[in-house]
Amino acid sequence: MDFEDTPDEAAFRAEVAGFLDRNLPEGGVRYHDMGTMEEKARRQREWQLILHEHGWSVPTWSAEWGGRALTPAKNVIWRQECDRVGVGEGVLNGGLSMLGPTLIAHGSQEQKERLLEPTARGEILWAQLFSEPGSGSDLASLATRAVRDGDDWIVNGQKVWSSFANVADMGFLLVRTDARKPKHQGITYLLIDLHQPGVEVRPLIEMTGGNHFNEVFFSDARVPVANQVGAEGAGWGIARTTLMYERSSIGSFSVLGHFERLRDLIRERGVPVDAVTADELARLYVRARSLDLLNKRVLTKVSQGQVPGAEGSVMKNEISDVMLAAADIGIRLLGEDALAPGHAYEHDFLFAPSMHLGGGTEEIMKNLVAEQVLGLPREPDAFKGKPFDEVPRS
Amino acid sequence: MNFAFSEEQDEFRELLRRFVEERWPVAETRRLAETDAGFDRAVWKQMADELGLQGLAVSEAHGGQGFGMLELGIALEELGRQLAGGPFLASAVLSNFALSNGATPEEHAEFLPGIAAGTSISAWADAPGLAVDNGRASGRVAWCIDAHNADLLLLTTRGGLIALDPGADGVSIVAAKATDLTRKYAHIELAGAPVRKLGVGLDPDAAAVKTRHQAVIAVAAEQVGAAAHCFDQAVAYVKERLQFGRPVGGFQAVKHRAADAYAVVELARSAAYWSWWVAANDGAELGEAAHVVKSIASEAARTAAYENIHLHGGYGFTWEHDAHLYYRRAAANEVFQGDPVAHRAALAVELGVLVAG
Repeated sequence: MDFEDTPDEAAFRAEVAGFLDRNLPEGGVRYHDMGTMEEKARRQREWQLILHEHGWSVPTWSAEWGGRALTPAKNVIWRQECDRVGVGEGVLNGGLSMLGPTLIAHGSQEQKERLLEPTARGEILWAQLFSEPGSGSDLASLATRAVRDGDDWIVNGQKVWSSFANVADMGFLLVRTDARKPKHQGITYLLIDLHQPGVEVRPLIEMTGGNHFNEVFFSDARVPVANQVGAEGAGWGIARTTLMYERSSIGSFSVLGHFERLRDLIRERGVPVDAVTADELARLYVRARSLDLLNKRVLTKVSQGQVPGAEGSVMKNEISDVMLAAADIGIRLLGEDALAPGHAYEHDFLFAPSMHLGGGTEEIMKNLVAEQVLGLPREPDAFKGKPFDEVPRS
Repeated sequence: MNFAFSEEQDEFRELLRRFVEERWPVAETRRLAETDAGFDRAVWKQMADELGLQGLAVSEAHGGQGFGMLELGIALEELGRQLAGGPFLASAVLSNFALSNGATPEEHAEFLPGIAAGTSISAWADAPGLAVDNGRASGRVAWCIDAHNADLLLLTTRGGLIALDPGADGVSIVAAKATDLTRKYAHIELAGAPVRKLGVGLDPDAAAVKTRHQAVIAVAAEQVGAAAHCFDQAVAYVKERLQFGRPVGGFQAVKHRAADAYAVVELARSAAYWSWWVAANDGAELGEAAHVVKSIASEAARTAAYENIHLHGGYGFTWEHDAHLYYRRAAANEVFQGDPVAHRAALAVELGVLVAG
């Protein structure tokens, strides 16, 4: 056990820090500071090209696909250094942390050769097209359908909660290709070009007043069979890979940063802190620190070749709680000032409720922990084995 | 960064787990709770002779194994699972810390070999209220773990560490009944008792602070073991208990309680392992680690002990079930050396978000 950087890790940290300090564009690449969604996309892509030129665009991918196959420990260092200067994947998250790893695991050689490099460069901006108005927690009940027409799939239906779809070029899409099979067996995983007449993207305005998610409508949209990932009907298993990467991507957000922002605020503004608030701040720190350590424990397991389990689900719930608590404390410390529209803590306060919804709700995460880690019985399914088209839908 | 124990450490854990499950399972702890001493001298001797456990974290020069807080943490976690160990905490851990930090090398050579061999049992307490004057001490130490079992008493006073012979004139030690049935406590009354001042020439405040931080980290290790045991027991039970024709662990309300408990136990375990590493390396973060781990490990121990009772239903509320023994221990450990609220206040000061005092 050793929490210090090894000499090799220390050298790596210095290399990353040096690279970031030399190359970070003026004004930074902070998601919240980059204006409209189009502006975010433009600047994130510019930065991604710089990363790509220097071999840093997809550090966790395998070397074969342009990555550095970073060890989990080095990936932590990479993220820590990126956090330090406020750099994240932003609108490119779907491609870099969800679709890319999924394609590396399940895509055909031709798909990998055609799509991974432009994804790494930020040239293809990806949106996730999984959830539907009628299929949230029960994602496998999705009803957007696709039928074959020669070498194309013809897609009809609607998706929702698609981050960045309004600036995306392509989407990773789950469709129902056989409604006579039980729900998990009739799903196919497609990659769809969003720039076509049969696709309409409508930005959603969320309770923050801002736009992050979108609705996406398909009317006879076309996907060439070459863009089908895995076998027809095998989409659910591939989707689970994507979901695992999505949850671990959410779970790897810097947690201690939430405490540090509050501490800086207290110091810079001389905000008085009473004993009750101090206890809440300390609780937040204890939770965040322990969570950071749990994350490191899981990463050590991964680096020893063990498969990461549903621990990522614990992480996602815990980080959501930390964000909720941090926003509450921020408001308490600043009072009405924090509630001025556009204030960072006003935004966080309004955004926080989405944390326990996106990527699987708090309840679904707890089911996963209980069933997959603790081995408790699965939820009974009254329609298990029934064809999808015989199951009632709302 | 490497958050894994070495192979040797994993093997030591396995060995110890088998030893404790065979020789000192919670059923035995429960039987011993009815006795004044609370431990079986034969098993105590086996701990020393077969495993060298009492000397685990004593240097080889003094007859110990020379390991540090990582191995000691493993031992405490494993003993904590069965609420076992008797005076192990008082003697091999707390007294060992107090002497290591607050006594001179000559005094180490005098006291540590007996502790390491298990032939001498020592007890330690913080005693800031004692009046010590001219080699005599007076006053009361309300709670001292295993003082009535001790051959040597060590007390951290405002002036530094002192040693007492429990049999000396002016020393009265009375075994105390406590909520925690499986750890033995005593009240100490001193009326002009002869004492020996240890660690002359050392900084008594630095030694006292370090001993307290280490003590907290050690007890948190035990809390994690106890929490893990309660949690494992609860999960095993809800898998087999049938109601409405199904295992109750299949109901989502029960699953979510289990998932919540799992999260806090794993958070506490993560913080505990880190705190051992900090202590083992004499890290500058010792105070922070103690405050963090006291807060999260107390929460884990209380949560898991409570959930174990709750998830066993009425059966968990009976005297015959072991669940209450862990619930009692969780409360006792929670208030030992500062409760979580006090530790969070200290943490807030250390982190610069609260002004001291």
